[in-house]
Amino acid sequence: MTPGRRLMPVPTPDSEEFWRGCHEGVLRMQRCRACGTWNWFPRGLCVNCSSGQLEWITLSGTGTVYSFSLVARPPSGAFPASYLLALVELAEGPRMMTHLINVDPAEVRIGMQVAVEFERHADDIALPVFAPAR
Amino acid sequence: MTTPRPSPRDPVIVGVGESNEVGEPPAGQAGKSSLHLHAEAALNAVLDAGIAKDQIDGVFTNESYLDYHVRHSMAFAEYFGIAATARMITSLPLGSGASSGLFIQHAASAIRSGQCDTVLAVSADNFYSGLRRSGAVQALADNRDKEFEAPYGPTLPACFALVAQRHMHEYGTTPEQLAAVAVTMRAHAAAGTRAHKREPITVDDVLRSRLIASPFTLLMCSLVSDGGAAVLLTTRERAVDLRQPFVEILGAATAYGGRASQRVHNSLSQAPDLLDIGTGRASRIAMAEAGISHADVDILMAYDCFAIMPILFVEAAGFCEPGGGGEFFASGRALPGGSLPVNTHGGMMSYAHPGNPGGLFMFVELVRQLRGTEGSRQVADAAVGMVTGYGGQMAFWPVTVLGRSR
Repeated sequence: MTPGRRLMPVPTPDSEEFWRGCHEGVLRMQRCRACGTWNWFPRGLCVNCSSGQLEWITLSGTGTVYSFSLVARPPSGAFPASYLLALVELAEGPRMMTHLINVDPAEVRIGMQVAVEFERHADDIALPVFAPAR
Repeated sequence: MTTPRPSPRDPVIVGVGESNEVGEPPAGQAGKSSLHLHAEAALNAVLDAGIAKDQIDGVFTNESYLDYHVRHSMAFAEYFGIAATARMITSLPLGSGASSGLFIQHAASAIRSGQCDTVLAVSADNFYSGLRRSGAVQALADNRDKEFEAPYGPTLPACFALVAQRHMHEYGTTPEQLAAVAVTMRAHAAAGTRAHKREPITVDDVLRSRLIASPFTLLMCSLVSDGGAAVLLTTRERAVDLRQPFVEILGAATAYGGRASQRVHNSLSQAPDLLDIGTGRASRIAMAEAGISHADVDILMAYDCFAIMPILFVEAAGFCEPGGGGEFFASGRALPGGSLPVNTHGGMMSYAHPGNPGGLFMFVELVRQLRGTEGSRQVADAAVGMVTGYGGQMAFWPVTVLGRSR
C-alpha cells in the first residue's frame, strides 16, 4: 500500500469555532437561539428556521454508538492498518462520524456509551474520537 | 394492470448498448480510455436501435472518476461526433447509483416536453485499469464530506458496512444472509457469457474471503471493472418504425431523503435513519403511475454496490416486510428461476462495476429481458421490471418501472 494521504480538516468561516473548541479540548456545536434546533454540520443560517442567531454551546461530550465497522482495508498507508469507524449519536442529539478508540473491536456494541477524547494531528487540528465511557 | 392512454410523445427506449467488453483488459494489455468506452457503448446503442447517429439531439453523460473534463458531456459529444443540431447536452453530477435512474427520468422529461426527440444516455469508465494507475481508491474515500468525514477514513465499503451493521442490529440479519446476496448475483452472472466474474461461489466462499470492513468480506463488495453502457430513447411515434420492439417507461420517481417530513441530506453521517430509505416513497409513486402491483413485477434490478443494499431495496420497495430482506435472498427467491429474479445480468457484484455506469447496465439488461431476447437466461414472459438506485450517501432514491411494448 502506498503511503498516500489522509485528508485533514481545513477550517472554514462556518467551522473554525468548532475546530478551535476541539483544539481546546471541548466539543461545541451550534444551537439556534430562535428555534432551539441543533445545527450539525456547522452553518451560517439555521437549517430549520434560517435564523442567523446560531450560538455555540459546549456539549456533554457523551453519546452512544449508532453504528460501527472495523475497517481492515484503509484508503491509504497514512491511516492505521485497521480502525473502528463509527457513527456516534451525541447526548444532545446530533450524530457524527468518528473513530472508536481504546476498545477491543469484539467488545463494541451498538448502543454502547462513549465519551469524547481528542486526537492531536499536525497544524493544530484535534479530531474528536470516542472511547468507552468510564 | 391499468393502461395509461398512450401519447405519440411518450418517451420509450429503443436502443441499448455496452462497451465491446466489460471487466478487465487481457493480461499485459492497457485498458481503453474512458471516452473510448463511452463511444463504444453509444455506438452499440445506436446500432441496436437502427437509428442514424445524427438524429441524436439530446445527450446525458456522467462525469468520469478517472478522466476529468470541466464539461464532460461536451467532451464526449466532441469525441463521438454529435451533430450540432443537438438541443441538450449535459452532464449529471457524480450521481453514483442514482445517475442511471436520473438519466432515464431526465431524458423522458426532455422528450415529453418536446425539447428533444432522441436522447442518448451514456456512462463509462476505465475503473479497473485506471484505478491501478491513479490510486483513485483513495479518491473515492476522500469523496465524503471533506471536513467531518474524510479525516476518519470512511472507505466506501466501510460506509455501507455502517448500514449493514445497523440492519443486523435492528433485524437480526446475518452474515450468511449478506453472503446469499453475493451468491445470487454470481449465479445470474454464471448463466451468461459476458460477466466480469462468472465462477460460481458458495456462502462459505463469501464468508471466508478476506475482511474488508466488518461485516463485509471481499465478496460482499462490488467489483472494480472497465466498461460502459448506453440507452437511447425517443418518442413512441418515432419508435414504431425502428428495428427493435420498444420498451415503455411505465412509471418513475425519485425521493430525496427517507420520510417526506425530513430535510435533504448529502453526507452519510447526516442521514436521519440509515435504514429508512426513500425507495419506499419513490416506488409507491412509480408503481401507482405504472398502474401495477408487486405481483406484476417480473424482474427487479437493485443497485448492489454492497451486499446490504439489495436487502434494503426489496424491503423498502415492498417485496417483503421490513427486516425480511436477508431471508428473501437466503430463500432463493431472487435466483435464476426464482419468483422475483434480482439483477439477472449479475449486478455490480458479478457483472461489472465501472463506477458511475454500474446502474446503467441494469437498464440495458432489463430492456433486453423485456424484449425477450435472452435465450437460456430469459426470464419467462417478462413484461414488467423495476430498477432501484441511490445517490449521494444514502441520500436520493430513483425508482423506474419499465414494461414491454403493449
